Amino acid sequence: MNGSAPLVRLQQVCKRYGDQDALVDIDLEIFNGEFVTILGPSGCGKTTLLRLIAGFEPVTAGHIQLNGRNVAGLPPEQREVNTVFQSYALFPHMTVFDNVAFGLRMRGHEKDEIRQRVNEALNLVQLIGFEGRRPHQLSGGQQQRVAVARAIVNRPLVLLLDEPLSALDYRLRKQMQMDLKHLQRRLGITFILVTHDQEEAFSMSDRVVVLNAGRIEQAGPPSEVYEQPRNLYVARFVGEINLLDGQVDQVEGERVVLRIDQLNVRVKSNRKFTRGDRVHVLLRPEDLRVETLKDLAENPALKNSFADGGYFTGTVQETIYKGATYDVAVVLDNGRPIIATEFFNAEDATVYFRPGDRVAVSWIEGWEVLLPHEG
Amino acid sequence: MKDSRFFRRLVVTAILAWMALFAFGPNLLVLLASFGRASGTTFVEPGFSLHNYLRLLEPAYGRIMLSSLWLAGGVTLICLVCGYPFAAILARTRAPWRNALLLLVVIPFWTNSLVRTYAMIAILNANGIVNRLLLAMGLIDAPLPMMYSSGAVLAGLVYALLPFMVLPLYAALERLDQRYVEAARDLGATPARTFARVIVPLTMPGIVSGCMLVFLPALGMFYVPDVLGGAKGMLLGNFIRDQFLTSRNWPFGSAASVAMTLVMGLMLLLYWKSNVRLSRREWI
Repeated sequence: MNGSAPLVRLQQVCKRYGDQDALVDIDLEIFNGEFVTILGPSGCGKTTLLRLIAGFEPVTAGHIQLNGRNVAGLPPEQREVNTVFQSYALFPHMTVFDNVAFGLRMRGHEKDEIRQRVNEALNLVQLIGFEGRRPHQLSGGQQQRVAVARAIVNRPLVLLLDEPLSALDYRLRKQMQMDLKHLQRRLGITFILVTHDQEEAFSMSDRVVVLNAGRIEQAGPPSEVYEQPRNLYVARFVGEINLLDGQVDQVEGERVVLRIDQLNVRVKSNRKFTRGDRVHVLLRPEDLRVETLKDLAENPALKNSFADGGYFTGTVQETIYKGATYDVAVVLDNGRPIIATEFFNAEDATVYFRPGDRVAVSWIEGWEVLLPHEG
Repeated sequence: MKDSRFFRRLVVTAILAWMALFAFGPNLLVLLASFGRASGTTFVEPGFSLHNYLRLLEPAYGRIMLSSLWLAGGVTLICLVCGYPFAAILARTRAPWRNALLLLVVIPFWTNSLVRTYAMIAILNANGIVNRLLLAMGLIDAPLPMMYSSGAVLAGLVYALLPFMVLPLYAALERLDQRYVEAARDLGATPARTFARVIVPLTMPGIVSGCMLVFLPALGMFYVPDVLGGAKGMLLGNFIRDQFLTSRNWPFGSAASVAMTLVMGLMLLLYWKSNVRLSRREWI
């Protein structure tokens, strides 16, 4: 798949509104059959990116290629892409059938073929029997499915989805995420989805593109973006993160010895650092280990298994119950707040830590991410 | 609290009384009169007969009705064709310019429309602006006789009524969600087909109310045909006025008036139906 030419190629794409940069130097290649999610906060330019690909707005600079063809100046009706709009934009004066048939009619297909393809599309989104309804007679989830059917019925090269699930409630959203993902696998159509919800991005896509202030911060598979964030922005945007600041003391190949406060900590990094560099150590809450000092004192085996480079000490501030897990909020003795996620043990289904507990905090070597200090 | 409730009641009562006295009452009188007979002494001799309505169907009067409807229809169509693009441009224009354009639409209202109709004479008559311009450009050798024709009446009515078409169209087009337009284009519709299949149906309430606001006055504005059309060609508005003021046949004039109201009512019903059908779209 990666050997072939990209289906969508953006080269140095810029978009300016007045003197406001909406997108700056976007380079992105999307391959046939991929499910790519563009993830970013509101106002980061992610919807603008979709609108440029769909042809609703011209690029200020750069090129967009669809299937090897430069689409500059091509109006939306001549691009083989279809959009599922955030608000669905179903035509209120048409029935479900007419909405779905609209694209086929515009392209002059035969009546019988239209009927057959509309039926197929409605079948895919499980809306058989709703043909005669008007959009206002449907629930939000049903409207969403009509919008998807209206787009896929045209068999586009690329389906663009602009926050298609944001108007739905949590459970329906979860359901639709899976439905959309399965639909994409089944049809093999390339999906480009825009969302601000990292969970949605991770659970649905093959590749996530993190966009911030009009620039791509990182693009890669969800696990890579989560586990190997390229900078603090990405790390913070795709989940909870704990930060420790340190200085490089020694470098031996991939192994780096850091000095964090009074502690020497051994970490791994495939980035190049030299002695004296200031760095951030990034730790996900679920990667942290927390034990009470009391348990460590009473149990030498536990203490031995715990961080040979030493550990940080701190005081538990509070615990936050999350259902399957709970978060422990700790303030380290150096004043830094830390959040650690703990699982309930099989034998102990209660929250183990109490506010005021003195605790040791460490992590398993190699689970941390090292970034150069930013500012 | 009590005071405000009292005040509200007072206002509502006052408005209702006003409507009863000056709108509902007179209309009821006209309706009653239309079933009566003309009388030399009391204007109307009460009674119940459809005589006046049947008379309206006589060829002479039927022709007045038809030519009035024809003219009003023409005025409406011209206003629609001219008003729609203007309203569309208006709805797309950005804030400061939009207000300036809107002002251009509204400014004529600041002058009495009778005065504006007389001003049309200065434009259209043999020595008027249009003729002088055409003569100066060498396009014609002798002044065109534009005054006192149905063309002049048409022009006068279009001029007077165009704002009534533009404003509701503007309201409808401004409210039209651009995403429907984008969705249509996205699905392969050319701009022309997007207009026909999406924009026109979705702005239908504006189209209907604009047409009504033009069509109905075009039937009844008697002074425009009077001033610009001269003695030629009687229209419904003039006819009704003449029945009341010249022929002194109040029942017949009333019947014509009621017939016109019925036409209006029918159109209102049409408008209401189209409105009900489309008003539910806020839901989406």
